[in-house]
Amino acid sequence: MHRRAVAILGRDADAWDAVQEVFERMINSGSQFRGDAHPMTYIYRVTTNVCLNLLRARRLREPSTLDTGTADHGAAEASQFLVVLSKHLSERELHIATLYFIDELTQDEIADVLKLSRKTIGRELNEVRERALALAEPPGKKVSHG
Amino acid sequence: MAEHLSKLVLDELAAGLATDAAALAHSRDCFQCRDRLAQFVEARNQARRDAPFEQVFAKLKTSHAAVESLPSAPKWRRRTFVFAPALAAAVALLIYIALPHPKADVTRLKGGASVRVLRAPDGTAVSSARPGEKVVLAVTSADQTFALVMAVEASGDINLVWPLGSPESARVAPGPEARLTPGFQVTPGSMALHAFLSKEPLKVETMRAQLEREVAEARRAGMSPLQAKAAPLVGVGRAMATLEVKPGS
Repeated sequence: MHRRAVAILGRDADAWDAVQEVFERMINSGSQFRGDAHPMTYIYRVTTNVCLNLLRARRLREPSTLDTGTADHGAAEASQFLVVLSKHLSERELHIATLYFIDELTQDEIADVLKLSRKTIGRELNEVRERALALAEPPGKKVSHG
Repeated sequence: MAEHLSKLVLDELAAGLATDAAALAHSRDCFQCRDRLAQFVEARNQARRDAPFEQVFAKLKTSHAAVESLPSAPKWRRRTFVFAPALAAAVALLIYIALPHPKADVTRLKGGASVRVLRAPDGTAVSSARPGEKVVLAVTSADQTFALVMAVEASGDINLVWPLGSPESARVAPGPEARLTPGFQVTPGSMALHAFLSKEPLKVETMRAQLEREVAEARRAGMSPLQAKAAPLVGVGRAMATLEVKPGS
């Protein structure tokens, strides 16, 4: 959870805020968590949601700040990439972009995490890729696992 | 499995949540994925060593203790605090969920934990015994350090098996498999043995209440209490073994 939060947010302090928030949500919706067939997909979903909210809040709070206070340059770059994308993508597209570019998940895995059909993920991912390519080169090249 | 493991699967493996046999085998056989898994595990361990970890842990304990004490808290919210101690352990990112296997007499936990019944004299694993035989339980607890075992009988009665007479779970000996000594003498009537493994001691009565709910659920589904399914509990590893007790000769 902390590893992913750092990857998305690019800052260790913000990542710990995210970890705190994710656990709060897990406590307050324990039944959903326990009912999930794959708890890690639930954790991914909630962590992504929390981190993207924090990222949006940071963008509003610090509109001109780049990657200051960041220990990991790669994470900072990824975080900035998401900030740029967030201005152009819908909420769902941004989730898909995060899971695809940052976490390098397969389409099946993204479908599992977001509880959407593979077909939907495939369609929206094409649009996300096109927009991402138009905006900037992704910080992490997608590693294809077949 | 030809392709390498994704980060999602590596996270599952690092957390002891992976269930896919092919992924588990791949993580052992592929040196690249083994290395990446080691990095994920190290990242988890490092996070637990970081100072903010303790702060997050403390904040969670404080905020939820405060809400728990409110008498007017709505029921659904109060219920969540049953999981608060478990979630404290979950802050350590150690989440083990039981994975019942319908045909096996031993249910393994994700992460490789399990409970077995051993015949006391020779240590042979058994799934059946006769009244009067002496058996001892053995748990594989990964890095969980406390164990509690309760027996559910066909009648639905729930009895503490280990540690006898204790109000909470007890520390188990370190090692790949811990024997829960002393053992016990088998009495008439088959039983389902439910093991609860955790980083922190668990209250016997809390786990008994959990089992009572599961027994009630099994009955509603038209099943025997022996077939009650072990529900996943956050921060608590669970394993189940059925001991069939045959009539004495």
